[in-house]
Amino acid sequence: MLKKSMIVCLVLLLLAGMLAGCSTQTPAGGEKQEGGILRVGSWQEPDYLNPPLAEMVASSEVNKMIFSGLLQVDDQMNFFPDLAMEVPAEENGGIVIDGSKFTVTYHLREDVKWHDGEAFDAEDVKFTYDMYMNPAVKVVSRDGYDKIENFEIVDPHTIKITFGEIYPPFKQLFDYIMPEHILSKVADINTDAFNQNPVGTGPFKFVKWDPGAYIEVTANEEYYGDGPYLAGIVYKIVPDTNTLLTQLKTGEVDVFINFSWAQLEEVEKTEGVSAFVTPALVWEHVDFNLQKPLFQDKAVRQAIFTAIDRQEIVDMLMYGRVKIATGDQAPISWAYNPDVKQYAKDTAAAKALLEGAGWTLGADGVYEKDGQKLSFTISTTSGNSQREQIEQLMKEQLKEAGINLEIRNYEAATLFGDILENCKFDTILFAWSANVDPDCYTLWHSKQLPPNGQNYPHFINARVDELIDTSRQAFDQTARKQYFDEIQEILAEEVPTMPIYYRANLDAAVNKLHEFKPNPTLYSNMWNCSQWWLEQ
Amino acid sequence: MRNYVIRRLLQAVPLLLGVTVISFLIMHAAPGGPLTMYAMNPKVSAADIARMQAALGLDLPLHQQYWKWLTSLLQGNWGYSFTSGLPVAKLIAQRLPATLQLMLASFVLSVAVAIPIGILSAIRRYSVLDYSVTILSFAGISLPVFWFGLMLMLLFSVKLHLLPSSGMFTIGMEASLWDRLSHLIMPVTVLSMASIASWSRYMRSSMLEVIRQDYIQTARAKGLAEKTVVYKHALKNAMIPVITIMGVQIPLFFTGAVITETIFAWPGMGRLYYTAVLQRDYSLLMGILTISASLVILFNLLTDIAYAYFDPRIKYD
Repeated sequence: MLKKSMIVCLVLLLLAGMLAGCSTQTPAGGEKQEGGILRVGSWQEPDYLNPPLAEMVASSEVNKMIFSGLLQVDDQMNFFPDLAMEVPAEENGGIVIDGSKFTVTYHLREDVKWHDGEAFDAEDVKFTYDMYMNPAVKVVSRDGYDKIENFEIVDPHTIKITFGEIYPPFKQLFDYIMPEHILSKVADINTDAFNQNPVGTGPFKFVKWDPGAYIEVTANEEYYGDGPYLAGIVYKIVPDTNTLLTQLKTGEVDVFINFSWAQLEEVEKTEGVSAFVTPALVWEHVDFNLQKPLFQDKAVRQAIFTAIDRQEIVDMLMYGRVKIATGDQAPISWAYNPDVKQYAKDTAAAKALLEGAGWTLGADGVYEKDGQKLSFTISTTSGNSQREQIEQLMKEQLKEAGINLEIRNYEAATLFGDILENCKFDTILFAWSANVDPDCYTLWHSKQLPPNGQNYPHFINARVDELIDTSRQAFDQTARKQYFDEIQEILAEEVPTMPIYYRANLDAAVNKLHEFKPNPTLYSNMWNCSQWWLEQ
Repeated sequence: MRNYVIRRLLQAVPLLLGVTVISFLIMHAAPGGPLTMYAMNPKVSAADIARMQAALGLDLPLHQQYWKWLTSLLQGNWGYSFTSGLPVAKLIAQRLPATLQLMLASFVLSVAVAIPIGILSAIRRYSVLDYSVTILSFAGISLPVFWFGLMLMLLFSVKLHLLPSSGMFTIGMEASLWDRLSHLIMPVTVLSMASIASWSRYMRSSMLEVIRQDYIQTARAKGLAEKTVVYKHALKNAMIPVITIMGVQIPLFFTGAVITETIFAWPGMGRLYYTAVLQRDYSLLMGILTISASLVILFNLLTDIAYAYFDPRIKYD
């Protein structure tokens, strides 16, 4: 039998031991912990895990975890180097201009390995370029890659790319590099098993894809950058957003990307979860079909724009938490110009504009001129309750101003594939998603009328053409900004489209997850997944 | 009987062909196409879209596209999905087990519940049991599947934490039988609800009609036990209309469980079909429609054969 004092000593020792253990387990504030599997819920399933072939946002989210690129974009819209050692600029000699051409030099990291152990080098970048230009490969777009005139491998970690024309958005190219040692030996890249079983250089390695259910990736122990801290990520596919919200509440998912405004209140009420409202590069708008005689008078377009109340729309549908749009550039872009003609709701002013253009108010409360009533249709994606509500609100607002709006909606594939593509609309409500570079050539240039481009309103303006062409000739941001500023001024004056609001992305994540920083660009929320860590 | 079956199978071939032709034409008549989503992408030029159209064979005349599809199918190649590039046969095979599990479980549950309820309702017509079953049946038919599924999820997953909210299994626990069963309970309940409600009504009315027949009275007069009268004589005859209904509705389980599969994140064929329609994935759609049509034809045949078992008066030759 131990003496009482011995027992007391032993107990004290045990306690001391436990306390010592406890103190090493609880981290100091902000210290990153390793381990843990994060469950991310998405209501879309990726199509290809091969970035040049993939179209969907869900694909780019998964691909961002598995692949790396020469440069990346952070949540403040700044480029930073990933596989390259630095961002090429005129100051560091990375960009050399020679007349109408320019050459970019990239110095590549030397410590990068593919997930199967092979070393990464310049051959992989060249192969990626060849893949984009290969007519047999079903890449989504080779826009930009087709402007490359010459691709030179100086040495295994230095490349020089010469472009045949000045192309400011070039930094967005090569955002995913593909493995030359695997894909060059494949019979048909379009249908190869690689697309469902990818090998990349990113912070996470592909493990498995259970179709319709989930995609699993695990930490890449040999990742060249800092991290990853998580042991793995499971990308769960839950097609119904109500179910996804339920899973967030029951703790079956940790992150819910892209929920709807109607769910915001529920998410904010859920314990242990935070909602992120991130202004995005997407702007919702109503295009006029300028081929229709009704819309060819600027006064009519301006009157319609003055008659609608966008503040009411934003307050009712998005609780006032997004900004009304003034143009095609979002506030988070450096090209944004807020000093353009403003159009607050003013029914009296709208009526004055119409009457000044020769319209008279008919007996039925609708303006008419030369036997034609001021009546037209608006179309959008049917089943999208938010857009349908916008249409209803607009209809009521326009009625006050003596304008009749008919709603005619179509299912998405029909709307975009036929109504928009073949310009069969009077007005059409949808959203454009801008890229990091503010270049708006495909939207407003007269050479981009469909089917060549996306100038669906058929907007033709010589000065805008000139400004767009000039903005594509310079790299200097300050110089380009003045051109974009003027383009936005002209667009606000001519009103070929009525910008409604700038979208905000809504994402939810558990508070135990740190360093989750939603990214409003196409580089997706997973841009810094190597930095994420979970409290254990 | 054997000749009959063979004749029916031979008749099925031109029927199936006709169905595929009509499906193909209707699909292409709908506006839009698999490349629609690219129209929204500012990086994709018209030249890119033309290139993709050619790669998918969409610039060929319709009859050539159909012929290409048919000849590949007969050689065993079901084609490749336009949106994911995966072989259609593989895509369908991946989702089939999930659908079969859901379908089989729902069918078993529906039969096990609907038939006895229908019989009991008929035998004890106008009793308390009958009235309550009638009310519940109407509720079951009227309740929207979507709402019912979400309510179940809210009650059992969020409030009571008894059952997992969705999916087929918990990741990492694929092998556990109890885990799989607990995931199966709610989707099966929701899916079977409508069929239990409607099948029990059919069973009831069919049974009522048969019980009033003279030969049932004769059987009772002969002194047979009530149980024998009901289950041996009445039931067999009452089953015929019910089998017809069941035979027609079973193929619907394959592609019609879209709403249930969407709510419960069940990776089945219904969702695959729905997504393919939205994306105008013609290749995948043709594969699914062909299978769907074959199932309808097959189950109609099985139903007809079942008649012969239940009613000896029916002979096929």
